Amino acid sequence: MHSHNTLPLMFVGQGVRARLVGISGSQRTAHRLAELGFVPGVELSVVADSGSALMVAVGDTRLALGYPLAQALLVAVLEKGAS
Amino acid sequence: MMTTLDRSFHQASAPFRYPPPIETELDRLADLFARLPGLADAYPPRWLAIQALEGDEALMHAIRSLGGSAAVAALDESLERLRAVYGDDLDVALVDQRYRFVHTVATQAVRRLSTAPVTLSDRIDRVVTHRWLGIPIFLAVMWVVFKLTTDVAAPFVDWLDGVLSGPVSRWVVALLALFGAEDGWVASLMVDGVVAGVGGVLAFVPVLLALYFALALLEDSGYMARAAFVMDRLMRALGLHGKSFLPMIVGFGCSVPAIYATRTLDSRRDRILTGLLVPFMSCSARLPVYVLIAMVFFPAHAGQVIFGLYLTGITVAVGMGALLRHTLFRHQPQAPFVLELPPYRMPTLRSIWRQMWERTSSFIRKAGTIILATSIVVWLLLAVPVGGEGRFAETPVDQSAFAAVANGVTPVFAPLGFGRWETSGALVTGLIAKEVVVGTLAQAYGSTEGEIAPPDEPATLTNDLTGIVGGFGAAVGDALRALPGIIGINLVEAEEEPIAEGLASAIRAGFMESSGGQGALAALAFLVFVLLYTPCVAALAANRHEFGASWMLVSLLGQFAIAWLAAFIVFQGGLVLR
Repeated sequence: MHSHNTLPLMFVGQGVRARLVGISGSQRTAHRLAELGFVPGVELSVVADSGSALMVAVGDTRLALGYPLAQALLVAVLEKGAS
Repeated sequence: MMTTLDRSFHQASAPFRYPPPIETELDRLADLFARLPGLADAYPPRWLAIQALEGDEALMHAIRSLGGSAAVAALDESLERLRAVYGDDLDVALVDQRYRFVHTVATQAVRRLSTAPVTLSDRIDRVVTHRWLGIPIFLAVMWVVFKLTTDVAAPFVDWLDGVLSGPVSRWVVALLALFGAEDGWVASLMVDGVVAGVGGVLAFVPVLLALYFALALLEDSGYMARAAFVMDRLMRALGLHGKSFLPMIVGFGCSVPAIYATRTLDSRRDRILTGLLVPFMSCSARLPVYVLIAMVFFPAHAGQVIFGLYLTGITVAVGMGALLRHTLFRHQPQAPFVLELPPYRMPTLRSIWRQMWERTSSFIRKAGTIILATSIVVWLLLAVPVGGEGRFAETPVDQSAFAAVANGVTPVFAPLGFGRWETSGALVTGLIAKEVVVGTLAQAYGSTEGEIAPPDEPATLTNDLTGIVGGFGAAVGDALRALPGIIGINLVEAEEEPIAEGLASAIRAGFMESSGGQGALAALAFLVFVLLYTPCVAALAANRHEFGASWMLVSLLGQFAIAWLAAFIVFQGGLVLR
């Protein structure tokens, strides 16, 4: 499941499209993120980074996520987008 | 399109199924729950089974207490069996199934481009929420808001104030004359009590309209949520995160809804901490006090002084937040920061107007009830002679019951440079509602002049009416000329005196006397005190309702102490520096 090119969303640059592979961290965190639409397989990208939180695009939704949460999202990069 | 929608609707109303291993357990549990009367009466069995498998703690507790050991045992068995299949990700699997279902329905009904495009919203966000540009942009937006509420609204305040202290007061007296009561205590109650007290507050409606216009614009456009995202970094200094920023922004309007807005936060710790810091965000009721005092003492720099006060409030909140986080809230962890950001939208005039009207009319209602009542009580206290030779409603103000009561608390304010009965009395009545500070000052200082503004021309109804309309036209012109000043181009000479001259000079003389000749410094200390001192009763009630009586006391006493200290530092520090 976790291939060698999996990394936390934190380290994916702005505008790069990625696919959610899994959620690390506590059960509670995983459930919470899943409820918000972060289910494995979904496509997402980082719109902006405020220095303490990321703005993440999931489908038509834009969510602000604190760094600890962005750290818990494990993704595989799909392609280098224009950033 | 219609047929696809119909089809997906039918599928949507069909009960949606989880994968077989989960369904088997759900059926078993739902059957069992349905047979347990205590549970079946309280919850739909299948729904309860789903929630239990997802590990909802409140419902697990309900199952334990209502369903007894049989239900708990059955649930444990089911979880055990499912763990073999899904590992620890059972709840995620359940949610995942729901999203898959939604996705299949959506793909049948919605046609979209193959890849999600970068929307205009996203492009705006790359600038507005940029790591380094975000905070400067936010501060610039706030600056524009304050210029709007001070320079642009000031001509209208001036106009309204003139109308209320001139023609309206004259009309009231003329009306009373019809009943032969143009002299004596009734006229005094109407003019010095009601018109001076309520009118003094109503004159600031233009300021509030401007503030509520700006807030509505920011909320409707979607910028408010971005501000929360951008300010997350700074909020961490307070031991909070971006989500707490929204109640704080609401606090610039009024602390009461702001305290209730803390309900959106995830942990009790965040709710209480935010609720304690909200009153440091200067609410709109305090704005009239700033405008009055700033116009009297710093007419050329009113905007900067007021903006400085807002920033002072934020700074104190940051300091208090850091202090509380390391003391009272030391052992309490923070909930993670998650916030949905709606796409940017063009605000509609109708919705903006509705919000402006809703908020302003509640202010006007307050003026008609609580402020009216306070004004009458203050007038009564001003009318009752305590010392000397006055008679009811004809006593010198400094010998009135009001002055006697206010003199009791005056020594507390002496070291701050505004130890006079007029100001301390105004601060006491200000506990009922901050706007009342203006009304009480107008009553206490106004009765020293005791004169209705004389008309420029013979006061006929026609002259009065044309004067009012003409004055409004001039105010519109002044406001339009002030607009370029928002970005620092100054076309207008600073208004010499937008407040009634008699009141302004009385206030100036009062502050001069109480501060030993440092009137402006004492006025600044007074403004800082008004900014920081104990919230009004409505806010305290909201605080007690949400967090309990002991936190309310913390807010009440803590803010008084902080305000006193800050005003002391401003005044005494200023004296040293001179």
